[in-house]
Formats: sequence, structure tokens, C-alpha cells
Amino acid sequence: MSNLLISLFNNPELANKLSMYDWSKVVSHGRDQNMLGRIWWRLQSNSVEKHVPDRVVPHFTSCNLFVEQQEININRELEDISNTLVSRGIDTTVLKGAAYIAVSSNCKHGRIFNDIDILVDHSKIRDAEIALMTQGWFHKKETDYDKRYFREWMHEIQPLIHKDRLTTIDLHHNILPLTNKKHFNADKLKTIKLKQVPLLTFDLVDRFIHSATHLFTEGEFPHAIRDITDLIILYQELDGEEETESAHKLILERSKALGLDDYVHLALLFVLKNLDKELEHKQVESLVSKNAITFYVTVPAFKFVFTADSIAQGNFINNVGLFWLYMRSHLIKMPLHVLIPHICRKFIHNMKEKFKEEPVNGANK
Amino acid sequence: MKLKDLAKSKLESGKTLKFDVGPFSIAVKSDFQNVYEEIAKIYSEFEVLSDEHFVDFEITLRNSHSLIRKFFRKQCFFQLGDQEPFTPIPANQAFPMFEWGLNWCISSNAHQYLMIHAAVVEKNGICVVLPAPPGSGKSTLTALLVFSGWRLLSDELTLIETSSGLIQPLARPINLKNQSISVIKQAFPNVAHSNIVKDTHKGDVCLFKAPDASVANIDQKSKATHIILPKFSKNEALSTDPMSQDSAFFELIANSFNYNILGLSGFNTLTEFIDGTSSFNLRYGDNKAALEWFEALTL
Repeated sequence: MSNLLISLFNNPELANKLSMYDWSKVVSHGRDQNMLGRIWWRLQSNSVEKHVPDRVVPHFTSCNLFVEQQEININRELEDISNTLVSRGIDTTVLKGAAYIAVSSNCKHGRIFNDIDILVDHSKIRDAEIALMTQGWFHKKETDYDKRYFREWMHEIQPLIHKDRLTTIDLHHNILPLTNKKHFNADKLKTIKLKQVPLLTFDLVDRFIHSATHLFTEGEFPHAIRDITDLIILYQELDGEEETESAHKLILERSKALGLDDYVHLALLFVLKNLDKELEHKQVESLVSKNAITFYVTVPAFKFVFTADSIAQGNFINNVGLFWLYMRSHLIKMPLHVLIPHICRKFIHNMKEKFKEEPVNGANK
Repeated sequence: MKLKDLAKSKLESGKTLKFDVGPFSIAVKSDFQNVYEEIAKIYSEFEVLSDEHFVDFEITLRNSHSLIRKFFRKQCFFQLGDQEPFTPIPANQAFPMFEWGLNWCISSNAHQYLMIHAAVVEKNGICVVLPAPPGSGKSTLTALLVFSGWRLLSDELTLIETSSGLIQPLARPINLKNQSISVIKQAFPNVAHSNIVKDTHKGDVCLFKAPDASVANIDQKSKATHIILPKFSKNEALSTDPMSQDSAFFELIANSFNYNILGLSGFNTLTEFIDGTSSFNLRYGDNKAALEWFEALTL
């Protein structure tokens, strides 16, 4: 386990000290963690990209080509979504990746994502779904169980996929699953208007809080470094915007008001650590240390997740930590009387899948 | 050092094998011994790399983590880094899986090239690109040509440098399926090939080693002169039909992996690439006649 990616992100000057072996690891883990484009942006904005060996550069620039094309596509999709929903009187808030593009946040750099996440009021979810269907977005075939799982328990409905362009929309009516005891009506979150289309997105503070809540209730981390750097960037953007109040104070106050402080404290702990803000870090640490399980189990487990280049290469203790985070995410998501039958069902389903006839693979064109 | 000079002890399962494939450097680690044996045989002329060398793609072919599936109906998982882009397939297909997986690694990452699903062969400065959907006989025709003295640049992936419009060779093995395997084996009994792997999702497959001279000239890029769309149909007399440049242009886009990602640079590369080439539809039912037709191009 090393931590090349996060070190290179925090300290781009490191680029002139890396060996060719290190660069192989940066490319390999950077590709897995969805970090290539973001590291290239950090290297470029610190004018140290000249230290990247010629042999390595195409990996970064190829990723950027993909990201540039994605931006064009997402902007077009947002226009389509706004024409579809806003014209029917459905206020729509753009979340996460698509929102970062729409507000031109630095989080858009090198961020490859699959789904466009949008939020509408719970009472409008059916109208929004039908409106999107008229424009060619449909659900994949789904079982009755999946239908129930999404509609009764989750904060979003099943993904809608466009029949021609294959773009996927995740239609949310809340930011937390309805079975999470901390969930609240999403209209409490503050939104701002986008300039280019009549859609909304969260303001800077709530954008941070939403991203933090999302990440720190997760149980699996396929691109943890990308996600924690999202939060670092969002924090810096808020810090740069606000002249009077410090960002961490604003976030602490707001998360308390929303009842999301458990998750947001964890996020701040790691963001402030990466930004070398000792004083603020100490303050948040004292808040986090009030809960022994959080402090001695959850935090060390997250620490591994947010520093390792590859969580697949952890030791025994790391793996126990990962298992705890996985369990924790489920316990957060659902009360036990819902969770246990759900897990049993999933287990049986997965076993059946595993021993099905060999599937056809899509390895070659 | 070439792969053929590598000591047997370096080819044991679990060892990491690093070698150059044209412009790419790859590292392969496998739980399956036969992957090493096949690579040593089919890629024998490719250069081995030192441990410190930069690697573009770190590939792992591994066993199932499930204790049961390690022994019962063994499976092969393909990994690029930590990613597993494909569902696992039966373990005896590990070597073809490596080939398909490497195609995927290149086609989904190497956007410094405009990539087309096509074969490329060259002789006496005549460089022919053969884009065609599966089932058109493209690989069989490519094998016939390269084992009769044409240079192999590529069997599956045509890499067009966006900066120069030239084709970067790969000279990887030719992937033949079903009846084509025995046709080529009979015509060229001395050409090395992998074991035949039966009943894959593409039928029976066998990989034929690229000619040594093609591998030796792997750094020599070429400018395309002809774009030919082959179509094999039994007992049909050979016929050709000239194609306009714009139809050829759209044919290449339809067969491209990343035209949509490259944007304007893709358009510019392709217009430059196609400029000055001649394009034909070629229908044939007899391999010998087709070979003669291609030879005539070089005269």
C-alpha cells in the first residue's frame, strides 16, 4: 500500500521525483481510481507537467479528451432535461458530477462519471418519470423486488436510460434513503439557479454537505481518492468565496442544522488533514472523538480508504476495517428489520447468479 | 532480450512478464501456466522489459476467489489494474481472454490514436486497410496475405496517429475462428499457432503468430494507400466495385472505436488519412483469386 495519488494531488511538485516504476503505478491506480485527469489538471495548474515523461503523457491527455467530450455531452443532456421537466413545471436540481460541470467547479477536472443525478420534489417524482419517458429515457427490465426496494426505501428511483444515447439519469426525491433515520425533506437544502439552463443546484455549503454525506454513508469505495479530492476542492472553493466566515465554521453550523453532523465531521476531518489546517483539524477531531466506535474503528478504516492507491492490496486489519465500513453503510441505510431480510435475499440472488451457466462475455468488439 | 530467450523459470504461473507490444508496454501476471507458454510461443520475437520499465497496462489473469470455483468449473478473471471489465470465462480460455482483454485495454484508453476496427497489411509501399464487420473473412484474408509475404501491421486494431495520420503497427497474432483455422493450417503448415480453444463465445479460436519480419519492423509506420472492404461468399467470382471517398470515410467511422471521443481532431485525422487513398468493395469466393488480385495492386 502506498499513497502516490493523494500525495501527487496535494503536492504536484512531487512529479519531478518519481521513477518510471512510480509512474506506472500512478497510471495504473490513477486509471482505477478515476484520478488521471484530475492529477493532470493539478500538474498543469502548478506548471509542473513538464516533469511528466513523454511516455506517460498520453495517458493523461487521453483521459482529458474523454472528459472534454463528456462535458459537451452533459451540457446537451442538461438542456434536454430542462426542456423536458421545467416546461412541465417541475423544479429540478442537478447534483454531483453534472452539477460540477454546470457550475464549472474545479471538481469537473478529470471527473469521469456515468449517471446524471437530478433531484425533484417527492410529489413530482411520477410526473418527472413520465416526462422523461416521453423523451426516450426508460427503465431497464427490473424485478418487482427491485421496484419495491427503490420506491419504498430509497432516495431515488431505478435509473432511466436513454434509448439512443444510452445516457443514464438517476432521478432522486431525497438525498438520503427514506429508511435512514436522519433523512429529511430535501427542500431544506439551499439551491441556486444555473446560468445557462433554468435548472437549480445546491449552493456551495450544501454542495459540500451533500457530497460529504454521500461519501461517508457509502460502504464500497471504487474511487475513494477521486471522491475525497472532490471534497477537498469543494472546501477550497467555499473557502475562497467566503471572506468573513471560515469555510469549516459555515459547514459545521449548517451540518448541525440539517442533522448531518456525524457524516460531515468525518468529511471535514479528512479534508482539513489533507489541507494541512492543523487548528481546524484538532477542533473537528475533538468532535469526532466523542464516539469511541467512530474514533477507534471508523476513522482508521476511512484513513486507509483515503490514502491507499489500491484498497485491494490492504492487510488483514485494513480488510476488517473495510468490512466494518460495509456493514456500517448498511446499518445507516436501513433499520435491522428491513436490512436482514434484504441481505438474505441479495445473498441468495447472488449465489444463483454465480452458478448460472457461463455467461457470454463482451470482451471483444 | 526477446521473449524466446527468456529462461523457463521466468515463465511460471504467478510471475510478472513485462514486454513491449509496438508502442505499448504491458505487464502480465497469470494464475494459469498455459498463458505463459502461449505468450512465449506466439510473442517470441517481442522485447522483454526490465522490472523498472514503465508499463502502460498492468494485466492480471486470475483464478476465482471462491474456493469452490478454484477447482470446480474453473474460471478466468481478467483485470486491468483493479478493474474487472468482463464477466469471467472458463479457465481454458485464458489465453484468448488475454488477447481480447488487451484489445480492450488499447481501444478504451489509447486516444492518442484514432482507432479503427480493421486489419492492415503492406507490400512494396502498398498499404491496405481492411475494415470489416466480423464474419466478412477479414482475418482469414489477412492471414493469407501475411503468410504469403505481406507485412502485418495489424489484425484487429488499426492505430492512426492523430499527429501524423500514419498507421502505427502492432503486429500482434492473428485471431482465426472456426473453419478458417484449418484453411490456414493446411495452407501454411509451418506457421506457429496457439492451441485451438473450443466453444468460446466466438466459436473455436486459434491465434497465429505474426511473421518475424513484421515484428522486426514494428516501429515502421505506414501511410495507407488503399481501403478495401472484403466480403467472402462461397463460390462467388471475384468482383470489385469502386467506392467513393465519402462512403469510405463513413465506413471507417462506423468501424472506429473512438471517433466520437476525438471530436474535431478525429475528423481532421480521418480526412487526412483518407486523402489520396483508393477504395473498393471486394467480393470473392476463392482465396487464390483474392491473393492474385492483391498482388496485382503491388505491381
